Amino acid sequence: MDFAHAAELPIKILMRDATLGQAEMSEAIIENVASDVSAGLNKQFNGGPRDKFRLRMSNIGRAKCQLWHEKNMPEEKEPMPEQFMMNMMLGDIVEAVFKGILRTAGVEFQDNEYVSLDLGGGRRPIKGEYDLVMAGRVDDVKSASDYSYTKKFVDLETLQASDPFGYVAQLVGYATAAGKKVGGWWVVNKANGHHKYVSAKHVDVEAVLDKMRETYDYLDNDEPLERQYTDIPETYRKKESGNRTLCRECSFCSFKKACWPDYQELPSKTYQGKLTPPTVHYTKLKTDA
Amino acid sequence: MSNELSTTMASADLAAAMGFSADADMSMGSSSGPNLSRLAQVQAPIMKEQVDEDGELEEKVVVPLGAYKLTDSEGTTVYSRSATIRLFAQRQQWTQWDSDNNAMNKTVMATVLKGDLKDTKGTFNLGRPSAYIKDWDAVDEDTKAVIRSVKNTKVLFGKVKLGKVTDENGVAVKGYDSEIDFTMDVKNADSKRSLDAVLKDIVSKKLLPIEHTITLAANKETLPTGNKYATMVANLGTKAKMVPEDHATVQAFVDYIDYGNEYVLSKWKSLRKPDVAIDPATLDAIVQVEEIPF
Repeated sequence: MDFAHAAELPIKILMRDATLGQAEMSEAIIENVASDVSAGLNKQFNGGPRDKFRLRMSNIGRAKCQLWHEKNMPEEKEPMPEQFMMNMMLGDIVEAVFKGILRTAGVEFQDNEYVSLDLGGGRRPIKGEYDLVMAGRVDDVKSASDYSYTKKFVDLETLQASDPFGYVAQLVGYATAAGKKVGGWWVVNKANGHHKYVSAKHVDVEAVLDKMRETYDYLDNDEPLERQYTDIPETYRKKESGNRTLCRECSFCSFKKACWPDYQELPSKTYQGKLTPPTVHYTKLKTDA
Repeated sequence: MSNELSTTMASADLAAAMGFSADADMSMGSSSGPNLSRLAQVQAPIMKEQVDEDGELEEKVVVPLGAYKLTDSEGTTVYSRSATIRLFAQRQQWTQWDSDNNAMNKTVMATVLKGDLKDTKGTFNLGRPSAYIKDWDAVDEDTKAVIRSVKNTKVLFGKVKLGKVTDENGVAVKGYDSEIDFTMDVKNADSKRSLDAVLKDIVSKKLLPIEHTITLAANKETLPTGNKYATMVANLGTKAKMVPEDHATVQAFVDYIDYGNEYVLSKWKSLRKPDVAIDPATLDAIVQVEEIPF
């Protein structure tokens, strides 16, 4: 109902028509999707090692302390979880299929392209590849977990409040590098197939670029480690339990062990539901005191 | 197979109609946004004095409480006791009437009222605290006043077809037979509930809101002071087939929302105060450092 992008309408109509057997996808578009999936598999499997650190559009929006570790203490990085590759491939497949849907729905867009962002001041260019340009704006396609879809990809403000993967900077970087306006994210829920558009049209581009410059300089000047986050009190129904946990940003960081050597991954101490308790990164338990 | 659930045109044609095909003008610069008519509910009946059969002067209700009024971009207002709408988009924003400047302050329009929304005062959420208030009595009076004055506003965008149309004198007006693009602010909680219930019904029919009409009537309520006010009563209308123009209308509404948000953001930027006030002593120290002679 809340169309954030006018192209959502032909997509919704196409999907509904397809479920009724009233829509077709051309062979040419299917081949295009297959070719995109093939390129994705090649990138994931045959793209060489992915560990060498450099600032890219896809990481420059991450926490400075995480990037500092990436650059200076790569040996401390947690090994990638076994689902990492599968998630990356799912992301590529979702993007390829989504573009096939756009084409079938007759939505015109320019396909992905490599771009270089000049942050000025003699800084080296930041490189990356945007997903698509629609109606003159750069959009990114994201495949999201159910949690991320419902809790984070709500609107720009919610995403900006906690953006451990640096999605806002990534999008602003792509758009600025391409000399186009910022669009938003086409988000597909991996759990149930729901999809939507989250607009970032009103993002403060200059403020985001300034933050990117700050991150660049911090790393380029080899400044000492400056932790950006601290642990937070665990709450249950707005009441503090007395335990402390890693914040969201640290939970997703691959260097949390370097910063928090004594943290423990334990089943939630406060969960009272009937399902398996979620795993929580505890830094301090009430009994520690 | 029933075609009530399918479009009457190919999705590729829909995209073209919306300005997303290669042939369409991608700039969409000529947004119809600023020309939208504004739909509202009449909250005070319009009375007219007239002489009755006995020669006595009497007041007659010309436009009743709860009727709908539509004001176009040139300021022409017409009235109707009933309205039938199709909704194309809805957003939410915080609004606050500024009686000193006779203007409405507002935040950007968002799909949900969460987070810190920039506003036309250069603040967030019009100064309304975003944290959960555990103890209302512990809140200071100034903050209470802000919370009371800032309204949760649902902004509707759609097409309206009015019933019998009159002017403010009750005289019938012609030229309102077709659907007209409109925007409408809804602040009353009962009105919002009524509308949400109907939208839920439409979605449960596996239809998009633009594929079903909603009829609008009114409930008359009385405040403890004795003053009366009206709330919106939304009811399910009939199924409606989409027409090619509907898709361009979606684009126009999205453009209108962007236009409105860009205005709010430009006001916010021009009025934004620094987050941290610089202590004059600190400022003085900075200046002195710069004045060190070499």
